[in-house]
Amino acid sequence: MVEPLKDGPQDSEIIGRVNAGDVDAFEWLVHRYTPLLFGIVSRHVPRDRAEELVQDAFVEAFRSLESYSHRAPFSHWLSRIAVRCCYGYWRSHHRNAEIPMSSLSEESENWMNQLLAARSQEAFESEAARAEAAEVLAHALGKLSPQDRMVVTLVHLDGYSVQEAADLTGWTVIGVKVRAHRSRTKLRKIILDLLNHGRRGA
Amino acid sequence: MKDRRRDALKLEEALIRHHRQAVPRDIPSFLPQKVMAHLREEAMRQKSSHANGSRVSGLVWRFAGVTCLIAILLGVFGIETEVQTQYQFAESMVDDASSLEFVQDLGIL
Repeated sequence: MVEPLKDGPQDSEIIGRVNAGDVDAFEWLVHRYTPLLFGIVSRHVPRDRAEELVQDAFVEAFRSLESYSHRAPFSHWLSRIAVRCCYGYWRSHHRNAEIPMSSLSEESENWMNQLLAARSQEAFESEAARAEAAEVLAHALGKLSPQDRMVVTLVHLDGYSVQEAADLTGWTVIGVKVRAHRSRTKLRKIILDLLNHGRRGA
Repeated sequence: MKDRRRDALKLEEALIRHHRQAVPRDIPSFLPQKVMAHLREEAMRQKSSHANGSRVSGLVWRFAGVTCLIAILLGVFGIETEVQTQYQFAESMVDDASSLEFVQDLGIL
């Protein structure tokens, strides 16, 4: 397992060395921030694509390192790149989608019924932790546009504020605010449709 | 209807909870090495494209200088020989009646 490096030179010193041509110095940043980027990316894209997206984010950071202005912490700048890589992934995925989304598995439909039938908070939390929840969530998010998906994931699932989500995506605050409201409404409608479909099938 | 909305909210809450509590799988230990290998290739590519770029830009500037010189010489030639391209163009068309009308409309003749 990769652990973040706490010791070693400061980010600004490393960045200076990389900009001066010392590519190997970038390895400090890779070791230091792989856990952060992996955490962000694995919450936004399928797990089997997370490594690829983390690599893409570091490559993009390396290419644009000279543009880092040191105004915000390096971790914020890097997080922004990772979020945009995830958004780029969904845009590309959305454009290239040829096969329509399949319907939910029977296990996931049964899971929804069990969740709704949970009588206690403990039972509810136990159901929420199950793998079927991931399938239902992926299915619901898959029905949103890439922009809606990104905003609803950042604001409603990850819990970022509108300002933080706007910083991460590079979109305007008002744009994120409006989209967050609309995309949440869409997500709720999708969830309602899933429940209605599940009940009809039962 | 209210029951369905309540159920939808409950499901939404479960999905949010699942997302926030999901434990990311272990980061593969080879990932940093893989990233650095890719970056070293990227750095090599950048170096060679900079070298090519500086060679190309050198050529471009040399050609730009020659082109400017030619443009100046042509301009001087034109002034010295009093070339009137519009008139010469019109002259070549005078034999043709429709072309003559055309150049007269343009105000050249």
